[in-house]
Amino acid sequence: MKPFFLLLVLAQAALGITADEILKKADAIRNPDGDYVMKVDVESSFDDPRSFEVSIHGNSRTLVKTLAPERDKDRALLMVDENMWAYVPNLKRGVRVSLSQKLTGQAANGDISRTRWHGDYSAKIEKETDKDWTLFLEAKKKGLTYEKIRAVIEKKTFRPQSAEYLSLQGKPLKTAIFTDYKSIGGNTRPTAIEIKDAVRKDQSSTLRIKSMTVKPIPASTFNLERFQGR
Amino acid sequence: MHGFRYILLAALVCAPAFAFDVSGRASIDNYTYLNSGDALFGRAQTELQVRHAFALTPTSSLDLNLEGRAWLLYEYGPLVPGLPIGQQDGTEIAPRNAHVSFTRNDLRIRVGYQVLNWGETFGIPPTDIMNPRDYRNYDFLDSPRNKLSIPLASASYTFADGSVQGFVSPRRNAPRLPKSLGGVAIDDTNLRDGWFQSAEAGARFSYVLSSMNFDITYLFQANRFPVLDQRLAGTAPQLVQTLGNVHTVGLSASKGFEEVVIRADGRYTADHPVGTTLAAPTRTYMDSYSAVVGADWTPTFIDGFTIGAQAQLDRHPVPGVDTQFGANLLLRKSLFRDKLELEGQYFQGLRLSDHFLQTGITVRPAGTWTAKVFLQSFKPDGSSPLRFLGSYDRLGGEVAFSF
Repeated sequence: MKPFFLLLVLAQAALGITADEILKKADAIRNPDGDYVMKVDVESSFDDPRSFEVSIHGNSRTLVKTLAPERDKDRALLMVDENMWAYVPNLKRGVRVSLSQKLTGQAANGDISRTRWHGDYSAKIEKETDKDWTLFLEAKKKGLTYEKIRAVIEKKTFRPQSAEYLSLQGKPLKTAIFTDYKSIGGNTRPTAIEIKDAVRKDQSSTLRIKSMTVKPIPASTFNLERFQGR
Repeated sequence: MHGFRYILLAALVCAPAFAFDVSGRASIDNYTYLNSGDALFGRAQTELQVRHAFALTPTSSLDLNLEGRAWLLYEYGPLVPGLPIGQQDGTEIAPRNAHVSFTRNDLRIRVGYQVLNWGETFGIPPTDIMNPRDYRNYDFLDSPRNKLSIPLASASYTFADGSVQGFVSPRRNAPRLPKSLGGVAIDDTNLRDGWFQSAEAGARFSYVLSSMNFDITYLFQANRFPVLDQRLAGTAPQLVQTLGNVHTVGLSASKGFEEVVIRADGRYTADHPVGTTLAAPTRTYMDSYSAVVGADWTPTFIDGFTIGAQAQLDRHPVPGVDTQFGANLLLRKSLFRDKLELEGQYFQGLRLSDHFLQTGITVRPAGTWTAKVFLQSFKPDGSSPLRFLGSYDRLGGEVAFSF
């Protein structure tokens, strides 16, 4: 097998695969084509365990429903482009929230809602070894969770291995490690993402994707009026 | 109302058999007036919701939602200072969101009792007027529980970044007041419109444009601000609650930034009826408006903290009261992994002494139990349209269990 992969790598180099293409292929590893629904458990060092049902439509429309803990069961988040609304059970309506609102622990909303980097970030190859590429991504639009990302992509498989999330000034905010590759949602994908705070090293969250179902989701599911008038 | 009770009971009995989704909330709350003698009262309340979705075709569905509420005051005291004991409703069972929805692709038609919650600002958003308010309730702020459910047929059509909605109610819907105010009885017999004797209607257009969402609303409905006419019943003074038809337009908007959200709500009502007095018994009308603009900030460097400020202006349909100005403040902080939340809301009139303060601590220890302790202080100005509710400081507590 080794000579084959060596050949593949050499062929890619010869063809001169661009950073943008690498990013697109890495996205395809993390996300199915089209709409999908996934169940995600989040364990955090500084927060209670939580479960979410995440419905994703393209790269800009996401509905996150809280499944656990029981007390937060009616809470939901709707994200459309760079806009975000939270459904507050007490008020029985959706209220706009700032983009800095955290999902739980170290997991930002963007960690489960905008999992496709291509389109949101411009990419360049910062470093290349026999095994992987290190891509440096810079936000192309405002309102994204992270301004800059340094992502390591395995050459053999285009699997994302790790990511370093950076501030606008390039200061490390968090690191993420993509592990536990399993067959899910029609492909082999990472089902665990461990996110660590770059400063407070003892603070971490692990996202575990429990299921991923590829199915068409009506656009009206992500409409603000439907979200508010549930 | 009896019919609704039977429907709810039948749905509850059938629920296990048809895998209905049953949820609800039971709560007990107590209030102690700190400056009005021995006034102490409490309320036991149950809310029950039964839901089921019937998939008709791959693109259409029928959703049943039956939600009702029952409450009783288990120790009578005045809901409003000055209101004699016994002159108030002690029990009630009423529908809340009890409706059937038919959805086909982007179209949804919903028929039944509905409580719609609108607005962007905190406190009482001026545009949140589809449902009349229940002034018998003693919590002011924007809990949907303080609104009356109304019979409504609504249709909504959604498209990429917006929606269009239409509403029709087969009767006029009035705000609910205590049975008397300041010892003067309120006659509300004028309010009893029969089914299909009259109607309310409205339309709403919502759109997200350049990351700003806005809603434009038009409503033709009975006045939502209470209108009371002074009369004499023999020699005894009496207040007669009156309804008129008014046209209202409303606008809500909000825009989010990294840590800040800007919000606005405004409403303009034309020719709102004004209550008559014994000295001036001829009905007059005046335009009324209310607008709130504000922002809130959720800094990333303080976990779970939000601070918000709003400016408010109102012109209520009260003779002799000009435009009033106010400022509102909100502070919220969650602690201990969201198990404890501290919140304070403060509303202060500018150039008038209207003042309302509510501070509260909510504890959500585990599962679905919630305990809340709060302090409310209300001091309406002599010219305030809410002066009929009196002045009070009270301490409240609530324990609730959701299932």
